[in-house]
Amino acid sequence: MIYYYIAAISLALMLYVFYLQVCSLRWDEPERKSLEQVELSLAHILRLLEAPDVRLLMQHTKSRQNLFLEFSDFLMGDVKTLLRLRALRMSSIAFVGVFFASYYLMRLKAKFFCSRNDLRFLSGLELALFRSLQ
Amino acid sequence: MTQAYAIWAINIVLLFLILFRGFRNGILHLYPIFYGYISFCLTTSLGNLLVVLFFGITSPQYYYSFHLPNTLIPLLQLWILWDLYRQSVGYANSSWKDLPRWASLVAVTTAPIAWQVFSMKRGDPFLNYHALTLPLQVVACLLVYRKVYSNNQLDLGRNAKGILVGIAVMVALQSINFGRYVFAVSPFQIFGFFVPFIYLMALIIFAYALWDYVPTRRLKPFAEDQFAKVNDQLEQVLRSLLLR
Repeated sequence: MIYYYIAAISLALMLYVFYLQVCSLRWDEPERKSLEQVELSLAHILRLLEAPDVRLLMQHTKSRQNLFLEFSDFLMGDVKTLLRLRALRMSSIAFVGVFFASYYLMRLKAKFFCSRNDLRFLSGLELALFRSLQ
Repeated sequence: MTQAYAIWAINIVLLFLILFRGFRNGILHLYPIFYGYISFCLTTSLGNLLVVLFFGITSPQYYYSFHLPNTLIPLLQLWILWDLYRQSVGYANSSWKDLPRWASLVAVTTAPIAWQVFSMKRGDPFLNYHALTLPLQVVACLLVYRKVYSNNQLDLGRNAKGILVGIAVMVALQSINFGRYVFAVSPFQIFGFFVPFIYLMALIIFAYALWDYVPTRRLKPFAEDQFAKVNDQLEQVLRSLLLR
C-alpha cells in the first residue's frame, strides 16, 4: 500500500514537470510565420498569451475560464485541420494522442478550476505537435 | 550486473563533463551548491573505485564507503532546491518565512512512509533511509516547482530549468525504484540496474542543460495600473480576433 502512495506522489511530480515544460515551450518569429502559413489559430493564441493585458485578464478566474474554453476550441480545430490535411506523420501520433487526452481532461477540469497555465499548456502541446511535423 | 557497472563508468565520465563545461562556461560560481554536489559525487565515485580495486566489490569496506557518503546526498539535493528557490524568488527575507510551512507540509506528507520504515524490522538501514528521504525530496521538489513557476515575470533559463528537471526526474524515479525494492520487495538485479540508470538519465539532462550559459532572466514588470481598465469588452475583442 505504501509503495502505491510513493508511486502516486512521484507520478504527480513527473506529470507536473511535464505540464510545466510544455507550458514553457518558446516560439520565435520564423515559426510564427510558418504557423500562419498553414492558417493555424495557434499563431494568434501564442501572440495573445504574451500580451500584458491578456496576462492581466488571466488573473480573473471567470475570464480565464471563458478564454480557455473559447480558445481551446480553436486549438482543437487546428489539430482537426492537420488531421484532415493528412499532414501528420508517425512521429506525431503520440503528440496527437496526448493532445486529445489533455484537451478533454483540461476542459473537464476547467469547469471546476482553470489554472493560469492551462491554455499555455494546450498551446505548447500543439506547438510540439507542429514541430514534430517539420 | 555488468550493464550496471558499465553505466556507473559512463556516469563518472558525465560528471567530469558537467564540471568541465561548467568551468569552461564560467558558471561554477552561479550555481555553487549544484557544482559542489557534482564535485562531491565525482570524488566519492572515484574513491569508491579505489576501494573496489583494493578490497573488492563484496568487501565491507566498499559497503561503507558507498553508503556512508551517500547519506549526505538527500541533504545536498534539498540544499540545491532551496538555493534555486531563493535565486528565483530573490534573496529577500520573505523566502525564509515559507520554510516552516513547507517543512511541516513535507513532514505531514511523508509521515506515513516514515511510520512504515520505522516499524519495519528488516532490510538494509541505508536503503531504508533512502526509501524515506526520496519521497520527502519529491514533495519538496513539487513545492519548489509550484513556487518558482508561479512567478510569470521570471524566465528561468535553460541552466536553472535543467537542474530542476534533472533533480525532479532523479528523485521521482529513484523514489519509485527504492519504494518498490524496500516495500514491495522486487528482485535486487532490477533495483541494482535502475539505480545507476536513473542517475544516468538525470546526468544527461544536467549535461544538456548546462552545456552553454543560458541565464535566468527577470522579465520587465508591466505596469498593472496601465491595464486596470480591462473589462468584458476586451474579452469580446480578443474572441472576435479569432473568429474567422
